[in-house]
Formats: sequence, structure tokens, C-alpha cells
Amino acid sequence: MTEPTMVTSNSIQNRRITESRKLLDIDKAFAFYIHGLKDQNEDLLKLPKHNQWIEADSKGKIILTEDRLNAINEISLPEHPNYYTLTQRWLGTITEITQDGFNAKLEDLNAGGTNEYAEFFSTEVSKDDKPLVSIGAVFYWSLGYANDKGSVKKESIIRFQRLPQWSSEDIDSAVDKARAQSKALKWL
Amino acid sequence: MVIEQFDLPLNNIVEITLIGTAGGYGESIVIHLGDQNWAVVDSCKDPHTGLSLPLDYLNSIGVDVANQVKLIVCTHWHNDHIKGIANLFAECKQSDFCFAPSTDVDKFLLFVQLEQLKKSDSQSTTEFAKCLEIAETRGKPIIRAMQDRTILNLGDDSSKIYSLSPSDATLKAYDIEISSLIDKVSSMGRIISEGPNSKSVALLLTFGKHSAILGADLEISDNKFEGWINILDNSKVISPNNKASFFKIPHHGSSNGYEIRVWEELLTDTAIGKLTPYNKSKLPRDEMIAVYSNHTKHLYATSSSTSGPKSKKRDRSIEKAIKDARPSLQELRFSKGIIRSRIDYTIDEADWLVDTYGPAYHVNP
Repeated sequence: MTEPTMVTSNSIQNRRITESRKLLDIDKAFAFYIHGLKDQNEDLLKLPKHNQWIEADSKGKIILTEDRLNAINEISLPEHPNYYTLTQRWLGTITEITQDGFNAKLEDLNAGGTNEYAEFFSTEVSKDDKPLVSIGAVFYWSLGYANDKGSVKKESIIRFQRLPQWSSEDIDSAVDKARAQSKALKWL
Repeated sequence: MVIEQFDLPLNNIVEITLIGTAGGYGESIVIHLGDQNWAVVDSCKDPHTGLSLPLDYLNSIGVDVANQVKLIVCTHWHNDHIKGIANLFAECKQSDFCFAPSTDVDKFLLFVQLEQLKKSDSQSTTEFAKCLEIAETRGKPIIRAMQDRTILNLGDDSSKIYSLSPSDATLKAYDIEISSLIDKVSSMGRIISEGPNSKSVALLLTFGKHSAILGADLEISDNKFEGWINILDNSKVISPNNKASFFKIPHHGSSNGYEIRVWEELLTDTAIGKLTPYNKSKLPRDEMIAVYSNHTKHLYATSSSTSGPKSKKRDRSIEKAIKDARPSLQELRFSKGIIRSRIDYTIDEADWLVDTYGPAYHVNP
């Protein structure tokens, strides 16, 4: 692993990484990275663990290793306005719909271990995500501190998982595999 | 008695050990059928270590899992009954694998493969898919569980295991459900299975003059040809002259798994009842504990059904953020409870000896 690069929340404003000739706003990169907004991207799964910067101190210092910078540089980024300094993330599964919202089982994406559960209100779910609220639906909930134009504020974000529409090739592949398995398996 | 040290049972001892976890992480039953022949029903994991708890138990007492585990039964695909079962099956190299697919096996296999397109390890069908791959590699037949089927037979005078469910009616309904689920795949890219409990595999164990019933999560159905009513009315393998002295109470002691006729017609007056609570749903309810206590003085649970609210330890600033943003957040606390029952099955009048470990306890001493 290469030596970490020390940056601070102030110094990274508008910083660009140009190693692979792509312009990149690191604020948005981290927002993306932390929130996993592109969870279906397999490249994201290969990124190094982020314990180092989760433990960033209260002054907003972030330690970035070169491989992380490079990894971030390789992914395309959606728009996101805030830069998060400390975040806890969960993978939630709705277990019950209630009058005001829903209850969910939560897997700790930072530390693993035991699960948790909590109550969520419909008002916390974005308009776009509301149709996705149903028993068994999967969502990401992140809670952290955002640096919004210099002022730090707590922020809770819920985003529902959108599974990609599988292509006919994907489905054909599953069908082929099932057929092959059907021929190979023996049943009593 | 509290277990201080686990040990292997002697060859003439049948052991039925319920491993259950507080917090809804699951339950599993490890069975010694005599002469170092073992079977395992379901699996669950320790969330901290990721270990399959029945596999961990078998290894801890020195069972040669590769050769001595003869049968693994997956009663249904809920996470609290299936997590870690693929790892267990992989280690138990001589074991048969038994579960209840729909009658149309091709459709079932397609359903499992389509589920894998989600590329997530969180869905329980991933465990199924891995088990299917292991069975395919070994070339050993998978045993389909169904009503009144012998799924393990160690000899004329030795122990046997029968599946009591799912019934033909349930399997027929399952076919329709699988078709419906497959139809949803292309339109939604998301499959939510409905009611796996109804397809649960309940089991009858016989050993010498003794018998035991393991209720899985099987429920009472509106259809008399499904669930417990079907078993009571139509089972050909249950003998009214050989009532069971051991009952794994179905579905965490929930009222939808309770049928008075089970206790009156299938179980002895002194039958032992064991259950695993499901804390998140606060199962079993106090009123059901009272109901079960009326049927038996030997009611055991792997842990208490209630646990005080508790939050996980985290960075203090995150704890503060959680307190402000989500005060309802609570940890599903994990603790492993074990209820071990042993009986000398060569003696007709023998009684069960019940021991507990961890938070497991005798509910109505």
C-alpha cells in the first residue's frame, strides 16, 4: 500500500484528480463513495475498505490512500451536493408496513455483527422512492455529518435499491443454468 | 441441569439438541440417532463469527462430520432456518440433503437461478443455490420431502426419520406460486416469496419405542389438506399407539402454529416441548406460554422472548446522531441457547434427560 495522502475538508474543495485525464470533483466522489449510490457497480465492491476515513477526526481531516484516490477516479459520479466526514451505513429490509411508515431490519454495513431494527416514517422517503416501499424492499440508510458550505450538519439519507432490469441475456443465462442443473441433479 | 461441558453421547443414546438464538438469528436441531449416526435440521449462524451453529456444535463435541452426519434437512428457506446450511452441507460429505421443492422441479430450479441474478448474498435462496451445486458435484440424489415419506432409515430396528409435510395440496399451491414468482422477475427484477412457512417440513423421528415430532415453522392452514390439520387427519406414518414424547414447538411458539389436537392426539401427557423465541416479533406471547404450560410441565426455551432495548456501541458522535435521528433503533441481541435432550432408546420406559446451556431455560419448572 502506498503512503496515505493527508487532505482536509477545506483543501479538497474543488480539488480535481487528473491522473487518468478525467476531471473529478472529490466532494462528489466521496459523497458517492460513502453512500454507495451506484451499488450495482461491481467495481465499487473491489474498492479498498474505508475504515481509515470513517475514523476521520473531528477537524475534518481525511486520510486518503493513493489506491483509494485512483479507485474513486475510475468511477462515474452522480450529482451530490455534500461532503460527508463521518457516516454510519445500514442495509435495511422492510419487515412491516405501518400506518406512518415501516419497520425494518438493518444490517450494519460498517462493522457487521448483530442486526438492528428501527421504525421509519413515510415522510423520510423521497417521492421517487415511495412506490418502492413494500415488504421485503431493500434500502440503504446512511447517517452522518455533512459539510454543507462550511457548516457541519447531521444528515440521514434513505435510498431504496433499484435492481437493474435484467437483459434477455441475463434471463437466458439463468434459464440455461437451470436446465443444465435439472439434467445433472438426481432426485429421490 | 446446566451443561458445563459438551460431550459425545454413547451409542445407545438418542440426543435431540435445539440450538436457538435470541434476536431471531435462527434455530437448528442436531440429532444423534444412535451408533454415531447424526442428522441436522436447519442451520443458523453466529452473526459475529459467521459460523454455522450446528456445525460448530458437532465439531465441538468431536463428531466426524464428514462421515457421521447422514442427513441434513432444510425445512424451509427463511433466513432464520437456512443461514450457513451450504457450509454445513459442504463439510458433511457423506450426508444426504433433503428439502421440499415444488412438484415442478424445473420451475423451482429456474426460480433459484433467477434469484441469483440479484448478485446478493443476503437472499436465502443463495444458500439453496450453493447446496444444489454441491449436490450436483457429488452426484448424490437430493431427497424431496413430502407427506409421509421415509427420509432416513438406519435399519429395521434402528432410528428412522419421516417427513410429515408438505402435503400434496401444499405442493400444488407451491407450483402455482413459483410460476407467479417467475413471472414477476422480468417485470420487477425483484422476487418476494410468500409464506414459506406453509411449505415447512415437519418431521417424525422414531427410535426404539420412542418418537419425537419436530414442528419446523409449520402453521395451521385454512385448507384442511395443508399444515397441521392435514397431518392430524391424513398422516399414515404417525401411530396413535406411539405418541411422541418430544415436540419442537412450531414457529417460535406462535399461535398460528398451535393446534390443540396436536397435543391431545400426537403427544404423550409428559411430552417435552421446546421452542426458540423470536424476539423481534415478541414470540412466544405470554398467553401462548400459558397455553403450552397447560399441556406440559416440561416447556423449555432457548432464551427469554423479551430483551431490554439496547443500542450498539459506536463512535460517540454517531451514537448521538442516531439518538437524534432514529431513537427507535435497537440491536437484535445475539445469544446462543442450547437445550439438549438425551434418552436411552434401548429402554422402553426410559425418560428424557434435559440439560440447558447459555440463556436456555426451563420455562415452567
